[in-house]
Amino acid sequence: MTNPATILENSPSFIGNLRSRLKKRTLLFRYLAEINLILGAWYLQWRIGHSINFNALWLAIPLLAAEIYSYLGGVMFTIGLWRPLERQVRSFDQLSPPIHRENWALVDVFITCYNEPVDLVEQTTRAALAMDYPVTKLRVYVLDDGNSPEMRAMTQQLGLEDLKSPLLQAEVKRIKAERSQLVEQLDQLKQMMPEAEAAEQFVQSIPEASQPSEKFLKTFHHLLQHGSNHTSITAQLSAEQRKLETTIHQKELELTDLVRCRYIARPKPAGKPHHAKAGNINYAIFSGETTGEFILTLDADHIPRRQFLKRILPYFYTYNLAKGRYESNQIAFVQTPQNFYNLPPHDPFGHRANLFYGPIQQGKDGLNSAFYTGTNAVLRREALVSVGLKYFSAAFAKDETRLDEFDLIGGMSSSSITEDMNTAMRLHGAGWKSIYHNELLAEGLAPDDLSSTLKQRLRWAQGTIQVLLQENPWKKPGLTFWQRLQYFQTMYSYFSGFATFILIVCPILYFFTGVIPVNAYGSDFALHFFPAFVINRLTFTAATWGIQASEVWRSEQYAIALFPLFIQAVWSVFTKRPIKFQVTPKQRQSGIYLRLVLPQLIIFGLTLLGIAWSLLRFAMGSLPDPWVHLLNSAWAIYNLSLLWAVIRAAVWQPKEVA
Amino acid sequence: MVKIIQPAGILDSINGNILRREVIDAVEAGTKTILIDCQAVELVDSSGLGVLVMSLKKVRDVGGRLVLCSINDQLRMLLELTDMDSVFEIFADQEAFSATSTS
Repeated sequence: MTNPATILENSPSFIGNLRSRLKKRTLLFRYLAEINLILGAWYLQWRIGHSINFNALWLAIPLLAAEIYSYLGGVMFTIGLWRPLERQVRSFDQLSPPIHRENWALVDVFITCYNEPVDLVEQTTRAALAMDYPVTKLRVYVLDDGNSPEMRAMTQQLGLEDLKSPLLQAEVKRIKAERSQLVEQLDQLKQMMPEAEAAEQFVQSIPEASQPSEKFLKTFHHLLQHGSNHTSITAQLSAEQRKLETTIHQKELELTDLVRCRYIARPKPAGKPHHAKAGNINYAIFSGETTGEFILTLDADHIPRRQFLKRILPYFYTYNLAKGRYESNQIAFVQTPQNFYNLPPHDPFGHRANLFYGPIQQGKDGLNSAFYTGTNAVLRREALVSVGLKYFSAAFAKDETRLDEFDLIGGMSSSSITEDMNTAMRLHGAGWKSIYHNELLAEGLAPDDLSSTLKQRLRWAQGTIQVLLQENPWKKPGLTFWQRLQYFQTMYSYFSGFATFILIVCPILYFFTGVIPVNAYGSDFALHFFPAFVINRLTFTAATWGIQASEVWRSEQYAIALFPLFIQAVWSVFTKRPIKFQVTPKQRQSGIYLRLVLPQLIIFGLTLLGIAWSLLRFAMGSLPDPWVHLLNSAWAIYNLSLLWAVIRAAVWQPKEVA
Repeated sequence: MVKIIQPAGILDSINGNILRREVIDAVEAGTKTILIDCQAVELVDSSGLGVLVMSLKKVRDVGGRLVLCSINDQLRMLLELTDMDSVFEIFADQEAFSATSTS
């Protein structure tokens, strides 16, 4: 587990409510990273200037391009990790000065689902209702894009069950008591009406006040009218009556509002774009049924912990000393980590993401460009809607018929299949800020078969490249240089498939044809390559301190082994093939998936054959340059160990429970 | 027939819903032109603005027309910041609107 943001619920150790500091060991990392970049540059200039094999330019140039690509990627990756922040926060109920519970903001929880099993969503919904937050300030919405009667029934059932809980019943009692008091007042008022009317008529009927008592009555009547803008006491009373009736009505509304678990399913007319998850969320925002100031988005399977909201809401407020009260600040969203409770031992599919939900997100946070990942995050409605409206009006200016789908596109970005990343970039571009809070507050399910895993990764890759083409961060107004670099780095990293392919193919080509892209594999190569390589491993170790080495290795394996998928993603986006938003399945799709990793299998097989071929020739004494072969074999074995992960995953089967 | 709606106070997601209901009622009653007079509106947040766009959508769906008038500086600024001033027809006040519709 990553180091969670330290919990300071009762700690008097610091003044104020929030604190952030540079992550530990950052200086060591910076020191190593600088040396690494310098040595890498030195290696590259040697490659460009002294080691290109001009007899095999067709291979030498692509290899050099792949190396330059990797180096630039490394530079950007290093910058991304340069300023990782560790944040500390007081819980919302421990703030000093405190915010009275009555004034806590209304929070909507959006649980987005699409054909997931009902009991899975029920578990999430129950946990959301059980979050530690005033019951009148929390509403949980199941946004069912599958529009299933079972889901609706489950939501209603839970709503009733929730209403029976002691906390809710206490609220019911309180509101009912307030209401009956008001009704009593109203009754008294109604009884007074005829008497007051008669009395007023009597006073007015007195022609000219002669008696002292009559004079007194007139003066008294005047006095009563004085200070109100009503012409008569009767009018005053009926105004009072109307006011009471409205308040009573309000109390009745409050009672109906106590049903905290609600269901929204949008109509999905055939032949019209539905805008996938973004459309689902936007519909809920504009349907008029949701009014929360903050929105917690949860995927159907992500079970929130009790303290979720209490830990996150403090970020959205700043204490104004001059005015002596809390004010809304410019934070648009706070992202928290994602982790999974169904991972098999050794995580064959590489889902554990402590590298991303750790140094990478903390580094992004330091550059005010935390990544919104669509779940486990709280958003400020005002930010989402105001930025959404701006993009809507731009779309409207081009095509007025888009008004028809305003409720599906007016908030969260719907123009990409990775709506989360695109939305965050738009928010950052509009000057809103973001936070990454490194404390695990919700856990979900990871796909546990290769097919679903690959679908999910393909969507991420396609969506990210799609955003690059549609809203290039370098051209997007409003972003800072560092934010542009951060977004660009993510997009850039998805082009790695091509570089990986070249790096993997080179040794194979050498084994079978003897073609070599580098003209010096001797001591000169060793002198330039190995220092850079060793220091690179050290830098990486420093950056990933605290994360299990096996997990880091698994991430590296997947970054390389998925190269056919990354190539496919780039290809599909650039050739403008239609891309569909596919919901990642939450249930295991059983089977063996060697078909899905065919390119990796072919490369794997060829590499093995190549090494065998070299060994054979060596045994027969006909191998020229055995050292170069050895070097290439080492390179090839490294490649094999990277590719192995995905081949292993293709045949992986869960252990039978005895 | 022009239906005039005069919301008051703060137009946020809560008060916005009341406004939206009024618009829907008017549309269902067959009104084709709706004028929202913002004279008494103190403040509009983006959710309130979202409600206005939803109302516009509702009215346009039946081939009707929805216009705003008497907007204050805050709303004007919000409309400009979100580029929404190009989406809505806006008049200075009720007289300005009736002058155009009668001529």
